[in-house]
Amino acid sequence: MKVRPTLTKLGAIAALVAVAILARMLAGTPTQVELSASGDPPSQASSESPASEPASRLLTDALGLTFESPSVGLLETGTGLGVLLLGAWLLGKVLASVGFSKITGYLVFGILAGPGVGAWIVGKDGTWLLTKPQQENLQLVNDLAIALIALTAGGEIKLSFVRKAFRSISLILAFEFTLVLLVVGALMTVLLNGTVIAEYGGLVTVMLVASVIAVVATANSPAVVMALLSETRADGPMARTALSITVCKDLLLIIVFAVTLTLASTAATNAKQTLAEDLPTDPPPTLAEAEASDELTAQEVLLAQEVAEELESGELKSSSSKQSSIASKLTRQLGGSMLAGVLVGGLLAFYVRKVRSFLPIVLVLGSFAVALISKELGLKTLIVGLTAGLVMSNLFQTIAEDVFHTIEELSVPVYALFFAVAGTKVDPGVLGGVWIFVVLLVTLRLGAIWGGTALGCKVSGMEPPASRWIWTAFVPQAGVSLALAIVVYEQFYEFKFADDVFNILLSAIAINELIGPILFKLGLVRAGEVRSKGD
Amino acid sequence: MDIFLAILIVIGLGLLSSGRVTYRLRRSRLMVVLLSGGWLAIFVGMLLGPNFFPLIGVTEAETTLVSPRALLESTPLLMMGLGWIGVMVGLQLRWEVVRSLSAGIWKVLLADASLSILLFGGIALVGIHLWTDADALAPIWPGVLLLTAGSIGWSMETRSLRMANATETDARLDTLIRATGALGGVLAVTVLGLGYKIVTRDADGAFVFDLTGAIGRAALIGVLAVLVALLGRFAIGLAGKDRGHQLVVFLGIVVFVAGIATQLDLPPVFAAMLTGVILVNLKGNSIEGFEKFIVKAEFTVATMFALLAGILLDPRIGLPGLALALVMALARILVKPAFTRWAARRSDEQEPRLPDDSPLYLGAARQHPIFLALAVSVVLLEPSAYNARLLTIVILSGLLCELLPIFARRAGSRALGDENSTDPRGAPTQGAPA
Repeated sequence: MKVRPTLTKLGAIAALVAVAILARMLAGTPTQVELSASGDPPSQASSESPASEPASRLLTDALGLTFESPSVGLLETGTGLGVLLLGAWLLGKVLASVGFSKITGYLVFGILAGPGVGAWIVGKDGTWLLTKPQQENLQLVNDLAIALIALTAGGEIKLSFVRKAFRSISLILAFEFTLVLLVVGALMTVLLNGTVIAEYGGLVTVMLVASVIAVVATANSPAVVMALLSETRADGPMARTALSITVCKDLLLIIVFAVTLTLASTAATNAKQTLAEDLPTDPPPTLAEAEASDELTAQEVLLAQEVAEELESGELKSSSSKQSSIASKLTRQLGGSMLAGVLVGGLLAFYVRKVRSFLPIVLVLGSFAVALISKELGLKTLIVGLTAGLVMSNLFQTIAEDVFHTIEELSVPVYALFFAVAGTKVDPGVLGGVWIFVVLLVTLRLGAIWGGTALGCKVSGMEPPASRWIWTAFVPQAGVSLALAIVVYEQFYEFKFADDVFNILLSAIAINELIGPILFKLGLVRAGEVRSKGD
Repeated sequence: MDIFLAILIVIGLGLLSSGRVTYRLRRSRLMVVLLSGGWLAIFVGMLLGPNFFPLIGVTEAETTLVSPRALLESTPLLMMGLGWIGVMVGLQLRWEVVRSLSAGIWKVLLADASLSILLFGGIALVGIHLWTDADALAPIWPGVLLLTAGSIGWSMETRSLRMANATETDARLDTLIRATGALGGVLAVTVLGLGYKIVTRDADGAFVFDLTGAIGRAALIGVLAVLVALLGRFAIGLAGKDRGHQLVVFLGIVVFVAGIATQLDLPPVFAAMLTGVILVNLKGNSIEGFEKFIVKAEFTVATMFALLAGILLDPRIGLPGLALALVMALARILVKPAFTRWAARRSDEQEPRLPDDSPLYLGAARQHPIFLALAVSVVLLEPSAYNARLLTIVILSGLLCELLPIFARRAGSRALGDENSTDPRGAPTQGAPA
């Protein structure tokens, strides 16, 4: 490692951070922050960080007409975007020079720049690089990145290879997925036993809820796998099998997650009803009464009130109708996403064949369109992108080369931003109270991944060294896992355990997000599949 | 959905108008004016925005494809575009190039700047005062400053005015017009950047003069631009020739500096321009690749901003606003070419003398494209009806300045019976509004 260039890069990062913080401090004048538009109560995000409040206000112009000024959060997002892009890229270079993957650098910079670490370093009222409102404004860029990454990942999957390696792909996937599900499910069952859901729902409900959480743990990140394969230019049985498994797992994950979530939420609804029936007061207690009571938590009261209202209005659906509606939604979502993907792939191929010009901008636009359409129609951006890439690379091979070459050029800023934004969502503050469970979850998950993959490799007859290291590809977690964790939280937020479980999941995902790329890069190097630039 | 749709449509149409189809269209003289000046794009933007259909009696809810509010939510991305334009303008000021310019060019530039500030500043002050009925200078200051600053310089596009039988003096005049136009753009950005924050809003939202604050902010932007440029230079060196890495550095610098300027409530084009100037004049590794990279997307970015202007403008300017636009345009058409001819002939001491009756002087009547970018940046910083209507005035006077000289010239040619006085190859097939 050359010390001087590394120090210079670190100095550049420090300068970048200093300039951004200086600008924020100078911009945070009382005139911009103190006034709120209409005296509305502050949002949760803003109450956490008053200095970064998105303070827009009503002003009068020279014509005497009123207008709403743009929020400070929105105006600051440009700086945040620039800092993330340049800082993540620089730190990626620094860490790459000491043997880590660039993605680790992007993630670490995102974590350091994020509001979680900011609150930890300068306090909740201090000035830091990225605020919550800025983070939310960056979602747009994130959606674009997911679509582009999915397109690339889909393009890397050759159906001829999948057909050839079908046995090893399916067996490794089945063993790894099942073992992680069982091990993490067991841990969560132990953890949830003794909570209100166990008391009112019984062991089956607890196991169902635990299995939903375990499904989140089985998820891994196609984006990390794709980014590392692109960075190291790795190619070989391990790289190809790992990517195929990761993509197939995503499809499997959506089905399993939807089914377990349906079953678990139905069971939890039943537990809610039992709880509502058991509540001592009729009508349900108020929050003030709950605060005075030692037996009920505020969340349980809210839950009881909600159930009572639902029962009264007849909105509490039967479990069978709920299951059928979710099943049809699932079919629509998966089928629709794949269909949309085929359409996007076909359109892209048509464009390249007939028009060809401005390909980089068209691809960025196309990815925006994929994100937009998916959001609007309730489809999965990831699956639409994956299918589009798959269609392009397998049905229009000669045309696809141009497209994927262009995406490769765009990949550096896309990956830098995507992983930096993912990093900003990590909040080390939540680790404090639950760290033992986090360590347990991460360790057990790692063990289960290793064990399940080893079993799968053995049964399928996969040759070493790929079979020895392929498990490292399933460690990284990122966007998909985070999204699933949020769904789990939203589904069970009324129960007291939801906060703890969410914090455990978030912290575990953050750790996997960090150690995953390091392990996978190591695995690729050890498997001898990394190619130098001259190859 | 709305925000995605807004971005999609704006970028999509930007692409379309810079594609092969419109490339062919740009062979016609009228289409050159409409496309290269971005006027068609502005019109399309109007159709997409909320203001056109209500004007013809159709309700807003049924017809607005892209609402300005949704578009303003993507301000960080729009700032990136403004930063792009600013850096592009700043990169023109390479010291070796600036040093090689003749004294005549500087004299014409100085004369034009003085005229613009005095004449157009005066018109803007009186016109806006009458239009808004404001009882103080502070509330109308940003508008007066915008119209004054934007009046400096002119469009650098001269191909559509060139003679078929151009002489050596015509070529010299052509260089003078283009160079002065380019430098005029730099001056326009500087005047607006330095003067914009002389008036600010106090804690109650009222306008107040704050000269000290303005000087402080300008100095601060200068310092920040130097720091970002140094950082950029270092990063450009690190990126090497890898296009992916160049893209990261370029996007990062542009959005970072524009973001900081916006945060400090200053026009992002100004800060980005300063960064561009410093970046191009720092010694070290070459930034040619970086320059090529920026210039490549020039037409697309410019068209996107024209579309954006069309969406953001508010046409309800009333008769006083319309009169202001007309007076600005007429003053420009009547005074600028004549004044430029006088200043150029007096400043240029070379022999043979510059021609007296070249159509190239008409180029001085056309607004500098940066005027539109500046007006858009003012709307983005403060999306008020006043600023959106000022944008309409800028667009309207710009369009008149573009069209009237062409019609006047056609009429003149007909009167002389000389239909082919211009380049027989026709109008330029390329050209950018910025």
